[in-house]
Amino acid sequence: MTVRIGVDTGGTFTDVIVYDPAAGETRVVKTPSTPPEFERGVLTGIDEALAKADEDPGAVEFLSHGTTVGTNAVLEGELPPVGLVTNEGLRDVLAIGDQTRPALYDLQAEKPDPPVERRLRYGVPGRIGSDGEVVDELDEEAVRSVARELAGEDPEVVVVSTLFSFLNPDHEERIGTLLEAEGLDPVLSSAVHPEIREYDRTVTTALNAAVRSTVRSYLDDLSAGVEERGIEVPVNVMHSGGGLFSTAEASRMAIRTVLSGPAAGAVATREAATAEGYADAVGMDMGGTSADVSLVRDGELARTTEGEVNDLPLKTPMIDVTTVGAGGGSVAWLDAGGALRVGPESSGADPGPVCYGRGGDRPTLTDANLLLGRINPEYFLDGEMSLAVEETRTVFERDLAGPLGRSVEEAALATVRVANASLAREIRRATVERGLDPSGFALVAFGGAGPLQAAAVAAETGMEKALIPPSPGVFSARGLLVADVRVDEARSYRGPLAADRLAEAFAGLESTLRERTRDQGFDTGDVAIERAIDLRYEGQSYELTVDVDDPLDGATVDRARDRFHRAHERRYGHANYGEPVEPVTLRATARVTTPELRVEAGTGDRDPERGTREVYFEGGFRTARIYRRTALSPGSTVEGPAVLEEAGSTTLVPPDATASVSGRGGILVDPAARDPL
Amino acid sequence: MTAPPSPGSPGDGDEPSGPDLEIFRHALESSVEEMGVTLQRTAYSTNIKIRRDHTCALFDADLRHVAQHDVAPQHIGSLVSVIPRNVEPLLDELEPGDGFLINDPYRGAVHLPDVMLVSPVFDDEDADDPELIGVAANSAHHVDVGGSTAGGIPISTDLYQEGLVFPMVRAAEDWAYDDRIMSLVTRNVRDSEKRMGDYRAQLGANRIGVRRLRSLREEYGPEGLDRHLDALLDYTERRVRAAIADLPDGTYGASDEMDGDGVTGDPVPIALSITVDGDEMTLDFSGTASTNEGPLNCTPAMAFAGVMSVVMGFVGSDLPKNDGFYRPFEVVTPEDTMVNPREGAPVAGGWEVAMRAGELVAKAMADAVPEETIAATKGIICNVAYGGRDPRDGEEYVFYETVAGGYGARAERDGMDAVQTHFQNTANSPIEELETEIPLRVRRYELIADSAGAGRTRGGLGVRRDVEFYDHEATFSLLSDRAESDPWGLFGGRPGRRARYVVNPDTDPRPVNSKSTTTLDPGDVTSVQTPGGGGYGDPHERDPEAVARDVRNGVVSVEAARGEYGVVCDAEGTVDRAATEALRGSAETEGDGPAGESEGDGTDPEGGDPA
Repeated sequence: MTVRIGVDTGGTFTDVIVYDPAAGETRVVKTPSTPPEFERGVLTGIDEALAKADEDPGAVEFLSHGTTVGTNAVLEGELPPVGLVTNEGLRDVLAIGDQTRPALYDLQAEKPDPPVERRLRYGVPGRIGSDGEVVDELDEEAVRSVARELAGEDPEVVVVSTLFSFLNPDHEERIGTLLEAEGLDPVLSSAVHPEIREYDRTVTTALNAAVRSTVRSYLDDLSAGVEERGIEVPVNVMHSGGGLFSTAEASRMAIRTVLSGPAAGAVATREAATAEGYADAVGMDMGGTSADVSLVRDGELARTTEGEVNDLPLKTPMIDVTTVGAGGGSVAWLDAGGALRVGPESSGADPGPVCYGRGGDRPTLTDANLLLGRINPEYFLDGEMSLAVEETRTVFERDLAGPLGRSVEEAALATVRVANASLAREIRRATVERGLDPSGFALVAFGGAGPLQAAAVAAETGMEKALIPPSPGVFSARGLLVADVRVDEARSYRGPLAADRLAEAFAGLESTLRERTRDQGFDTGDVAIERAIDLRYEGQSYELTVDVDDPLDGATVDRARDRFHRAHERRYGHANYGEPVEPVTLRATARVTTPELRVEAGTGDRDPERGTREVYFEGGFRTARIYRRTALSPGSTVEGPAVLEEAGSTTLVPPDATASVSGRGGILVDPAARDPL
Repeated sequence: MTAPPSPGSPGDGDEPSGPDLEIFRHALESSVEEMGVTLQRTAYSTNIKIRRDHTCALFDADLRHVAQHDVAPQHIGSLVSVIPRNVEPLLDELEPGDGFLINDPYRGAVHLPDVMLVSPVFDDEDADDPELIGVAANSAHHVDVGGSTAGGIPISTDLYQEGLVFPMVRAAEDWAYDDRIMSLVTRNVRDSEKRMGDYRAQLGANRIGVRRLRSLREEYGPEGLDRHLDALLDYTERRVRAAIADLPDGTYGASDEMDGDGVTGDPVPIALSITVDGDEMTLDFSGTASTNEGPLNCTPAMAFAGVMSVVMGFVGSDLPKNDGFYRPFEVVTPEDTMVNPREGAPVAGGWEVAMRAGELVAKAMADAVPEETIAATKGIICNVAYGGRDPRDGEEYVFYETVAGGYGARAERDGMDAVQTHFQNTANSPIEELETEIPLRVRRYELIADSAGAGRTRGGLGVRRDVEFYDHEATFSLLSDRAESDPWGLFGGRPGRRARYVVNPDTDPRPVNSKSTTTLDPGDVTSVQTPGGGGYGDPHERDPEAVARDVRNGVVSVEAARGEYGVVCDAEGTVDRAATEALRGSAETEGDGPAGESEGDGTDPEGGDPA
């Protein structure tokens, strides 16, 4: 017997999922995370999960991991000292950034601190021009002198980033050599992120350098613990691009782990949606403080290279995830003009909503759902927490219902509706602004709070169905079981959109890729290479990424150009077919496919019916049937109003909506009704 | 379809409130956001696509301003002062798919480069007799609209020298530009191909706005839409009034002088008094210089944007921008002054005036809410334009940019280094993009040491940007300020360093006027050095370790640490505690008083230096 394991670590909990491919069964364990030594929680979770599945460590044939260690290192801002060597006169590029303020009208706003302190930033004479030719020779004596000064400061690593190094890395490489001679550890921007725009390239390289040691030492400790247990397979790590890479790659490109967690959820979204027959879907992972929205289009995850972390640009390929400040703990409040607002302030996990009874005293979305009868006060979190219902009513009356002149239930319903409106706005942004019509999409809702809002948000955005996957509370971990291994490489390209020149440039990129996948232990025969290219109209500054088919020739280049025109039209409403199109960046991805999950839904041998409860909807209380979700058999349908309960999550089926259970155990809610509330 | 408030819901027929309003606001604001993204992402000139110098707005059938995409606050008030006034007379002539161009400063617009495109929104474009349900409009800063110098910032003495004036002309029909008009336009501007791309992007943005407003009306129904719009405007007004009422009543004044109007070097006075009376606020420019001969004039719309973008910082930064927002304010711009110039007067430097007006708001409010306000910022737009013929391909080029500077110190925080200020928040161009497009090399782009005004909290640092023009003759135009007066400190804080504008700073320094056009020889280097922000509070109260950190980072010199802050430390930033205490103690006994109490009437003895 063999099993596959996925471990998803969040700030509060670590979720472990064990999949037995022979039986088509999954088992799940939830255990507390153990910051700052996250590996302890992960290893405990693995132990518990194996025990629960009654399997030996030797049976593990695949182990993958989503981690927040890199994310925390960046967000908490406690980065080790990093040095910088750049062109003379340009050391403050890193501090000036794009010269904007983060908030327009806030007189107390703050700019993010640059990732390298000024005293560790140095400029050296030497310059390469926009054609990649040397303008001024590198002053090696100056570099040596800077190297000696830097060595005295003992930075953990030194970023080397000079102008146009993505066209000609000679100066960076030479500087690197001279720094090494002084015992320093240089990282070249042309090796980490060889793309145009010096500030973005430097920040990306510097952030990567800054989190590298934290991520590396964490993964080393984790790998050692895994090996100690007799697990013979290496740890794979989820990267921001929604693929897995080795711990060695994760240590080298540590900054690519910042979206490790959300990427796992996005991958799970893609898998669940396509398995249910939806090639287009929106993922909504809603937890305590916020919701992550991802997009699946034509069976592929939407990706971007325009990310941001802590107000700093991050330009590595990543899943296109938008975070909305609406979660179960989001606080509802009345502003000075009397409008009801929800979030962005959140009561978080501690003290949490009022109904947790841990000292929270501001009304939250979860509290509203409780007052509306949508959450079972006894069943909540498997009855582990006693809910202070009366206290919750009092707070709603005091803060919302009283001032609004409405009943407590009306105020609670309004809270839910406002939260749904902001989720809907974000989903519209993710779809309509890309020129996509969400009407044929499925909304895959998960996380503790997502399934409660799913039907309403799907209706409000005009989506066809809401899909609540099995075990929505630990759904992200599933993504770790189904993610492919993906290695991405990209390079700026200056030249014509002509097949022969492109083929030459891609060939270089692809041989690097093959080398890197071989280093990770993959048989080149299993590796599929995909090409893409960022194009724009000559004179524009923003590009769109389009696929380039095989084999690379005149016809496939024409097809890529045509894809660009159509993508431009879809996204912006117009295209200029006659205008010249220029290539900016070439991208290649090596992919090793992971086998699909074969999942048998529960047999439904227990009684799913749990009686009825009064649940409040627009217009008043209605009697809703209550079901035990895990006991519902595939093929069964449930008419709203109904509530489906399971550990860690609750699914709401509004009046007039219908839910059906798929062969894979997913709940498909057809919002049907014009007004689902 | 989305779910509008259902008939039969509680409060049906009443004014939408609380939750309904919030839901509606989300839907309406996402419409203008979509317009904005479309415009930015499809534009061709750096100014729009990277610097985001544009805005989009929607108006209802009564031509009330109902929503605005809030990325570039300088455009607050610009579309609103143009639309009702110029659309009203055309109401009977509007057709679906129309696009009108307007940039006429004397018909409500701002300066000529900000070209607005206005399109009507009808309920059904294919109907025989469609009903007008609103207006979609956007404004974008074009890098060239013709005129005497490349980049649109000439030292002009009348409007005609500044470029082409669009008097609300129908330039597009049925969502396509009229070739006859656009051929005339493109023949009169530099680098015309890119310009056409920008005009097309503007048309695309309006088209998105039209679709979205129409679908909102379908969702909510005609009466439902009106009802929600009324409620949204009233809500906004309520919030603004509540915020103004929280400010202490009184009249607060501030004044300053600008470097000169570009034609004469005489200092130009600007004055503002703010009266808070209950829940209303009046901002009065009486005492400001009369219409200038040179381009240092701004239209009332620009003055309005200038003051409002700072007022926002005191009344709530997340307020929607719509008709309701404007209701409690009155801005008095006396006729024939530089904030309401004589018709035909040049206005190319208007944003410099508006920027300084914003500075005066912060200065005046120091008396009302000292903990909330900030010391002087860089206080300039710092318009810089370059033009010439690219030696690499022989093509003509134009480039326009603005340079960041220091932010004013705050009661509890240092000013930010190297940022845009007040209504200005335009991004820079990456050096690699710039050098690829334009035949220049950015030789220095750095923070200026000792440029920040000292204080208990210090100002932000100014920026030095040195650019070399290789292998060709180029023109270097400046329309800037603050070379002849100080960015003030508050409550004992010291002023920041003034601006400097220099050609060949490191070889054969030649200072140039803050408003000037200079022809450069091949290989010349221009140096724009922007002001630092003013400090806040007595510099001797600053934590010596904070001073030492600045010394270690090379942004405060050892000499300034001692002279300005009374902190004795070495270049490594090691503080000599005893010497520091002794130095700070002796300064007190000398009765040095609160240094740099410069927030008085702003009269600066050095301001009158004739050019």
